[in-house]
Amino acid sequence: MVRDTLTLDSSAKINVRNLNIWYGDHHAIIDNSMTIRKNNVTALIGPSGCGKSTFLRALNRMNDFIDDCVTKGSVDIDGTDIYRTQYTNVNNLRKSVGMVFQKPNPFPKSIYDNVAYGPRLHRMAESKRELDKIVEESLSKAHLWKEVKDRLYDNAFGLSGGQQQRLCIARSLAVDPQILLLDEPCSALDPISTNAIEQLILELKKSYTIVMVTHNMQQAKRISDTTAYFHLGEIVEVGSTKKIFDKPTHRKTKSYVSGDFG
Amino acid sequence: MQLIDLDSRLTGKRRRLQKGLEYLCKGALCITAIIMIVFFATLGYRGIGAFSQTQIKVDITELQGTTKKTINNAMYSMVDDPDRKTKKSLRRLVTPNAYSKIDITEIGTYTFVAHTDVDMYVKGVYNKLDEVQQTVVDDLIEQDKIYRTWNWDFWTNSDSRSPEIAGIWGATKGTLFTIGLAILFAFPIGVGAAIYMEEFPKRKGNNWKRYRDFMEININNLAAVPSIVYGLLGLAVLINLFGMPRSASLVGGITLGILILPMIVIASRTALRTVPQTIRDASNGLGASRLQTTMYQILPAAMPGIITGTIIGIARAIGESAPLIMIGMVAFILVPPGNVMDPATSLPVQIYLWADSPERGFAEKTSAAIFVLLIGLVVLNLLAIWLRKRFEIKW
Repeated sequence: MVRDTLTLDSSAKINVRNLNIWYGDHHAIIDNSMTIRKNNVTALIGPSGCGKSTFLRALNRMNDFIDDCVTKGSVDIDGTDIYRTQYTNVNNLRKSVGMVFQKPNPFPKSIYDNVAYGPRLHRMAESKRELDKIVEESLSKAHLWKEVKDRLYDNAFGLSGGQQQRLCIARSLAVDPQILLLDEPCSALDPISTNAIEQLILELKKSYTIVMVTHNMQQAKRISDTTAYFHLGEIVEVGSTKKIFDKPTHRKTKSYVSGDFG
Repeated sequence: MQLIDLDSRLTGKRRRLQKGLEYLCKGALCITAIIMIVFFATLGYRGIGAFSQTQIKVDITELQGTTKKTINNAMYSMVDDPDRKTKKSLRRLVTPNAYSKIDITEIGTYTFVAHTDVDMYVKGVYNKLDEVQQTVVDDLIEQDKIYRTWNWDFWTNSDSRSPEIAGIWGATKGTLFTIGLAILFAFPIGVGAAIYMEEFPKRKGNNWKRYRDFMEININNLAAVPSIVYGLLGLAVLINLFGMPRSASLVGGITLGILILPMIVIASRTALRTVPQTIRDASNGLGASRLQTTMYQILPAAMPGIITGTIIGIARAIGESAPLIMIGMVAFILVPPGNVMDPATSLPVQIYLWADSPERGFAEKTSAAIFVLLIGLVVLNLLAIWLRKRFEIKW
């Protein structure tokens, strides 16, 4: 019944229904359903191995690359089930649903080429000037433009960890996505870089729908609007972040957010 | 008070063991170095003569009907009133092919390559000259008319029955053709196979896994098959079945290509595997298709490793003689091959041929050709190391 009220909600961007995922014999995601709202930051929390990353990767079908992964159920994005058929244009799906990973993973190329890679793939720019514009805009949105504008053609590996992660965000933004999936984007970064990324996420949620996995409960508290608590492949509780942290209804959620385990 | 003893050295058995192992390793390294030095020094010492050539200056004062006669006549005039035997000796001071290279139409001083016996005498290897020849040669050396000079013929000529003018150009060209074809044949196939095995979706089910394992074992096995077996394959399939020409670099190229194919596959797979999964994720996450990810990200990142592996494979193929002998590239080739269908030979086979020749003059050619081949291989291996150092990506 909770599901029904959410489905009717006009601000719903992603609707996950009865999602089940198996890795071989291991049932990693058990009958998950949840709704993710537009222009919200949704945080997925839970202990290691509880399936939050698997859930996140299911949202843009990155699990397709895992050999023995089987997915059942439906994920509706703007009312279209991305698992409807195996012939869904997953490349366009992943263009609209961008992903940033735990460890900064720039390509071994120049900063410019890193950002321009996506637009080039999808032929989004007619001319060099247009491409330059996309690169500049994306880097500006990721608050990186000022730091790198004089060394756009230097290798991206020369950037610091925090800068690399912002470059990865800029790279995702360059293909003009609607949803950003962040898989523990700050876990490899120092507190100052983490703060920079958090500010960036708060700003980006104005134009994008953001789903992030985090191990850091303080971070979830600071920047997310909705929080989902995962435990052993099941969604134990979903609700506004305030509610999850202040008045969790479920016993497991309560002991997790209060730091009893995890 | 000092709690941790930092000053005393290792003692007793531990120390002896450590020192012993250290000396053993140093010794092994020294022996390797000594072997290499002795090897190169021997080759250099024995082959150095081949890099110089003895030439003889002859004054032509009078023209005869043919160039051959003109040269012979000029030789006879070195001794007053020669008899038949002396004439024969004198004729044999210049290389028997001298007249075929030059057309003498006016009088003057001409330079010819000296006969191998003169060459060997001047180089001090042996003395097979008769009395007349020796007198004339000593005389000409006094006058600076017989002298040693840089042997261009060694680099620009092909094989010959006369060691003094035999060269490696024909064999080198054959090697270049053969290896070029081998690369053209093996590189795309090898890299393609490796990409398929590493990058393309692993289909579900046991049959697919079994098939992949079977292919993997086979490829690893092929890398260890004796090279002569590939020669037999080339002979049976390419020449007998497909009717390709014998002794041609085309057949040699394909045969050597098959020989280095497993090495390229293995090297490429290793290189592809060193590209971290995060790069694939990043590219796929941006909506790149599998082909785009492979072509734009994975392959460029793996290329240094692939090329290094390929160069090492090529270095092996360059040194191969057995398969080429099987397919008939062991012929006596006087003219460098003009295209891949022409009969050709290759450097290692040329070395084998010269080593087999009874003429003493070929001994130094053999060493020199080995030396050239080795230098080529060293350069290739250095190139491989340089490429790896220069383009390797530190993830």
